[in-house]
Amino acid sequence: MKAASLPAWLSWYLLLMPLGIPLFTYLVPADLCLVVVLVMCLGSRWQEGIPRLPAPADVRWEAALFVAFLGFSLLGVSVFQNSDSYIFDLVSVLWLFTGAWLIQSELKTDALVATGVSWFNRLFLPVLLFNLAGMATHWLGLDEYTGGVFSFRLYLPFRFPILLGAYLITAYPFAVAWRMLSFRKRMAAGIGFLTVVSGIGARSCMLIAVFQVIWIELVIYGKERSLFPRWLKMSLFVAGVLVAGLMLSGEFTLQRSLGTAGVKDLVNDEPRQRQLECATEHLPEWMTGIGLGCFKVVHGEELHNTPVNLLVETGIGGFATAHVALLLIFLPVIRKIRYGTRVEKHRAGILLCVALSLYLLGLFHNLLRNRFVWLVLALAAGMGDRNGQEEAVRDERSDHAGAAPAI
Amino acid sequence: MQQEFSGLAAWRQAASRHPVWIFACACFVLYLETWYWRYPPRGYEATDVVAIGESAGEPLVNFSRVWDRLFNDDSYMIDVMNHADWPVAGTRETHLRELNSAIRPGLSYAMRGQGLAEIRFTRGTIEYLRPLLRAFTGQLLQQLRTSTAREFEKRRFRAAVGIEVLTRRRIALQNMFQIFDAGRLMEWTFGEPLPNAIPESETSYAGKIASASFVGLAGHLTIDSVHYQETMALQAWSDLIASDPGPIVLAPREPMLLTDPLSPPRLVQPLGMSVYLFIPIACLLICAAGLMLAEGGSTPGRQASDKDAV
Repeated sequence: MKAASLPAWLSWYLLLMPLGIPLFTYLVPADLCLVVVLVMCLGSRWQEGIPRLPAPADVRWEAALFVAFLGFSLLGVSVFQNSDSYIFDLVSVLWLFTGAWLIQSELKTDALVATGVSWFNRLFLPVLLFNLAGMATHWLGLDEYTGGVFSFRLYLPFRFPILLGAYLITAYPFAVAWRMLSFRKRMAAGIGFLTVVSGIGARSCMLIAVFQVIWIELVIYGKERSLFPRWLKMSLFVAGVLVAGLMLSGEFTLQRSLGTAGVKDLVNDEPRQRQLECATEHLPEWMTGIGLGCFKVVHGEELHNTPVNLLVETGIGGFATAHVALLLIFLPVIRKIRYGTRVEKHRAGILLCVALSLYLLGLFHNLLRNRFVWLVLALAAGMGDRNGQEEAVRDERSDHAGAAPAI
Repeated sequence: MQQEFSGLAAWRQAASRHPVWIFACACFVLYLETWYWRYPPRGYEATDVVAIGESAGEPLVNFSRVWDRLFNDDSYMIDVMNHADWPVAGTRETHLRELNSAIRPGLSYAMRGQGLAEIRFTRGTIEYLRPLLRAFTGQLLQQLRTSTAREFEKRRFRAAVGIEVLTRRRIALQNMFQIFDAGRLMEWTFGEPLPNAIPESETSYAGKIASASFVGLAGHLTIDSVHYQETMALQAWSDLIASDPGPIVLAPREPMLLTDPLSPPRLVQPLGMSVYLFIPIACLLICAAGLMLAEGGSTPGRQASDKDAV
């Protein structure tokens, strides 16, 4: 299958996404690509003359729902009082929406989505190996040479461990299942993935990583024909993971990831319980919400639960709008799992696995301003785009008629 | 400009095609504005600051104990509701339900320093806010005054008894050691004969011997210390029973309300009224989004005809 080509800015954007250290303010290297393309878009618009106010019929439903979401976010009762925080969150969400919009507008066919995913996958292995090497230096007592950056929770090349966790959880199914790696490669990648996730020291990430590995092996590769039976392969895989776990059993971050040291178990998580109690204090205001980004100003900490955060900050309207948008974006993907071709089913399954993982992770963290969440939304919108559907089907037919697909 | 106009015209036409939606949005705006007019964000609050009675730097009552006692007393609170003409009618159960849902969650207090308590009542609406707080604080002050008066009497009695005990002990010691009353010695002026503590006939030989010995010195010291305690007790007594000196009393003996009971309630959230400004903008966005969604499902033929009409 001939790889469809993406615009250079998008290729670079997807490639640089795993480098999450901000260059200035909150902009990471990948954002520079968006800045460039936005400047170009605005320049070309400027040359065409004063931009016309788009007619309502010309606006797509994704944009319409986003406008509705902005409306609900403005209804919050504390917006004026915490205007700086509101504006920060508003600008962040606008920026991420613009990025996702630009990405999905370029991903018009499944082939382009596949190319985009392959660009996104390119740094997965280097990031994984980098962190494994970092863990090894810590294990060997070489912290003085690494400045101690690997001595506690892994976070590089991001600012916070949870960002690395969100990246790995997004990238692992794409890197392993999208390309249909062989069992040996998959086992190596899976053990490396679980090892690095254990070094992040986040229970939520660990749980979801285990869920992903099991999902990929049982659901996505469930029907794979092979020489050895599935139970034997799974046993081998589990044995490999257990060996890695035994080797790392003395590591604090692994124990923290398993919830056996440093943190209380998830059902008695005091900070999250406290945050949820604070959220219920706003119960009378859930109709309209308290305003986007206002929770952390009012209570001095973020609410580590994205759906509840949406409910508290943007009210029932914002919460419903966001979930309707999610449903509308993923319905075509689900439809592809049911009615699509074999390749479509496979890719849609992976996308759904990533989306489900991120939604689960969102129950433990606030991921509204996470770039990977918006990337997955853009990929899903691109994959389920009706305009590109026919072209995608044509691509698949030619794939099936010609050479065997990559899987 | 023509292009901009045509864009606006398209919106106007879209709005005219969906009057129900526009009407619903307008109703939503009016509803929210009315709602927030009556129930502003986080509601209103009224506060009363009470100076708790104290004497000689010691609070006469423990305010938190009094608060707990009264706040949890259902009959007392229902009495307060009746005094405030709280708008609830029906059985006692209805009163209790209203008490637990609307009054108790909004009532709180905070200590400001040692002698001041700030009582706060928060409610979604301004109605009946001040009357209830006034009634509650009034009843609370009555209780505080009663408790304070009782406690004051108790302390005065204890102090009087203490002074009497010390005086008797001093007199007994003086009698035992045949020593002059220290107070009378201080009143003695040079050139006059020394005052006699006790008539000469009552003096005893043993006492004379004792006063001239080591035992006598110990007696002196004991009497001095008792006299000192007596003086301190008298000082505490005078502090205890001293009347309030003037109009501004830093530590009044009786509990008193410092704030004016007629001071109006205020908004809990500063700038809370700004929500009136944001509601129309937010609803405009929601309305526009609804139009976009509704028009997005329109047939291309109708869209073309709309453009022609513009």
